[in-house]
Amino acid sequence: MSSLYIWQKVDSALSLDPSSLAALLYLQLHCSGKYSLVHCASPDHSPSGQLPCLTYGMHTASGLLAIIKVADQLGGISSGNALLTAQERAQSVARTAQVEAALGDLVAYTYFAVGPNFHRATQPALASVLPVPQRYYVPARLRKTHQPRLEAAGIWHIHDQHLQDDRASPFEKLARKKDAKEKKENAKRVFEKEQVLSKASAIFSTCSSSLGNRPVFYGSHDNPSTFDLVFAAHIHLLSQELPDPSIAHLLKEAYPNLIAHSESLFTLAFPDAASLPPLASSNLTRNILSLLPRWSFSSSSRPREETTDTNTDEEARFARWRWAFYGGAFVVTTSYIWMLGLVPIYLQALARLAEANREEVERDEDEDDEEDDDEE
Amino acid sequence: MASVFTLPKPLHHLFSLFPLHTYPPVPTTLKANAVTSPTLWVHPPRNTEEPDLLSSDVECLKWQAYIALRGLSGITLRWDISPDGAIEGRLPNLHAPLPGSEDGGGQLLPAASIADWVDGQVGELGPLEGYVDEAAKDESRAWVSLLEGNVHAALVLFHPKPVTLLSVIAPFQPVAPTIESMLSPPPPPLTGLSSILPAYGSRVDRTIVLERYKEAISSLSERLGTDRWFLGSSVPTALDALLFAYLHCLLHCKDNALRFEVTRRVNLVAWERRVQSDVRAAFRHTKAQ
Repeated sequence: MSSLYIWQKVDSALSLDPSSLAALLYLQLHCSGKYSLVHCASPDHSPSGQLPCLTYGMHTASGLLAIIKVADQLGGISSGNALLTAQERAQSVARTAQVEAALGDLVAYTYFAVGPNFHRATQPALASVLPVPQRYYVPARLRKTHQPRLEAAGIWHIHDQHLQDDRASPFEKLARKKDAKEKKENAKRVFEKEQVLSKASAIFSTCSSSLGNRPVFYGSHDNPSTFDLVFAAHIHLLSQELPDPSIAHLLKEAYPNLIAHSESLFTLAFPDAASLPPLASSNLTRNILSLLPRWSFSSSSRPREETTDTNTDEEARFARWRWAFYGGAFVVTTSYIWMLGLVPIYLQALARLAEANREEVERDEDEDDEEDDDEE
Repeated sequence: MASVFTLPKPLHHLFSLFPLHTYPPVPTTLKANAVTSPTLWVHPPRNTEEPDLLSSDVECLKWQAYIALRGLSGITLRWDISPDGAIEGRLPNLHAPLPGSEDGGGQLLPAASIADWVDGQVGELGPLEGYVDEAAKDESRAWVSLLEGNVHAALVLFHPKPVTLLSVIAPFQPVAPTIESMLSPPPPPLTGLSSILPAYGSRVDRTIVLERYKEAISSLSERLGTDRWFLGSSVPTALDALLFAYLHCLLHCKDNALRFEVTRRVNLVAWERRVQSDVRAAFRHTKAQ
C-alpha cells in the first residue's frame, strides 16, 4: 500500500502547500483507493527533504513530477495530458511554471507573510501536531524559509501589529492612533496591500480571460490536465476564509469563474466526505531522535511502515550472496598468506625467541646460585 | 566684526605649533575619455584573448541580444569594469552619450532602463510588443517565467560561478540572487527544519531541479519547432533575446547533463547558431584605456 506524505492541513484546506494538494488531486483522480494519506508538519523525514513524497514498496518519489510518473505506472486511468496535442502540452508546461511562480508567491504571502493569517491560522495548525520542543520554533523557521523568495518578488510585508494590539490597553490604542508616525505606518501598510492586490489581479485577469466559460483549460471535464489540477490547488488555497481575506474577496468578487473551476475539480476528486483516502497517523516526530538533523539517506530515515514480507526472497538471495562474498574473501586471504610460506618462518622465529628468553633466565639463575655459593 | 573678537595670544601660540600645509594637486595619467558611441559594460566573455563579443553571464548576454535584435548596431563593449562600479552592483550598464552635453560625460543607465533607451533610439514597439496577438503576448509571459524559474535555477545550481580567493576576501560582495529565492517550495535548512541545531545552509534536491529543467527544455524545443522566431512572431522579440541568452550559456556550460539536454535538440542548436551571428554583428570591442 503506498503512502502519500503531504503538508499539514490548515482550517478547511486539505494541505498547506499547493504542490501537495495537486499531488493529492492527481492520485485521487487516477489511482484512488490504492494509497493512504499522511499529514506531516516537517519535511525532514522525506529523502529529498521536500514534501509531497510518495512511498511505494521500497522506493520513494519526491516532488510533483516524480509522483505523477509513478501514479501513471500504478493507476489504470490514463492521465489527462494524453488528450493534449504536443504544442498544448508544451504550453501547459510553461503555464504551470508561471502559475507556480506567481500564484505560489501569493499563497506563501497569504499563509506565511501576513501576520494575522500566520499567527491565527497557520501557526496553530502546525503547532497542534508537533511535539513539545518543536512546536515553539518550527513554524517560525518555516516562515523564514519563505523570506528570500518573497523578498525577491517584493511582497515580503509582515504586518505584526496585531500582536501588539492584542496586548495593549484601550488608552494605549487611542494614543497610538493619534500618533503621526503611526499614520505614516498605516499609509505604508495600505500601499503595500494595494501593491499585492494589483499584482494578484494582473495574474488572475490573464488566467480568467484565457479560461473564459470553459470548464477546464486543457483536457476534458472529467479528465483534466495537470495544469488544471495545479491551478485549482492554488486557487483553492487562495480562496480560503482566513483572518485577513483580502485576496479571497478579490477572487470571489472579480473572478468567479476561477473559483468555479477550482470547486468543480475538487468535487470531481472528492464527490463526498467519505471519499477521502484512509488517513494514517504519522509517529515520525514523536521520538527524541527527531531533534537531531537527518543526514543519512538510508532506510532508517524513511518513514517506518508495518513490515511487509513481499520481498523476502530477494532479500534472502542478496544476503546469501553477501555471506558467500565474505566467506570467499576470508578463504582467499588465508590461502594467500599460507602460499607465501612466511607462516612457518614466523613460527620458527617465535620459537627461537622463546628459547633464547628461557636460556637467559636459566643463566641468571645459575649466576645467582654461584654467588650464593661464593658467599657461603 | 571679525576684528572685535581676537584670538588670545597663548591660544595663537598653541595653534602655531600645528601649521596648515596645502599640497598641490596630484597629477594622474588616468583620464576618462569622452564617450562617443553607446558603450555596454558587461561581464567578460569566456575567451578574452580572441574575444567573441558574447558575455559569459546570462543577464548581460540577455541585454546584449535585446539591443542587437531590436536593430541597433555599432555598440561598443567593455568588460574591464568590475561589478562594484556598476549601479547597485549589477552589470550590465549602458553608458550612453547625451546629445547636448559639452564634457562628453554621458549618462549611465541600469539594466532596467536599457529598454526605454532603445525605444528612444529606434522607436516604440507598440502595444503587442512584437508578438502576433494578445494570446501570444500572454503566452510569452509564461515562457519568460519558465526560463527565469526552472532553467535559471538549474543553471545556478549545476554551473555556479567559480569561487576565487579574491571574491571571498573582497569587501563588497556581489548581490546575486540565491538558489533559495528561485525554488518553489523553498528548500529547508541543511541542519533540518525540526532539529534543535540552528538553521544553516539549504538542502536542495538536485534530482527535482534536473527533472524540471529537462521538462522545460523539451517543451521549449516542442514549441519552437521550425519557426523563425519563437511563438511564430514575424520580428524578433524580448523573449527571443532571453531564449538565446539561456541557450548560449547552456551550450557552453561545463556540466554535461545540462549541455546534453540542449544538444540533443537539433532545432534549438540550429536556432541559437543562427541568432548568434545576428547578435555578434551589432557589437565591437574597445581597447582598454
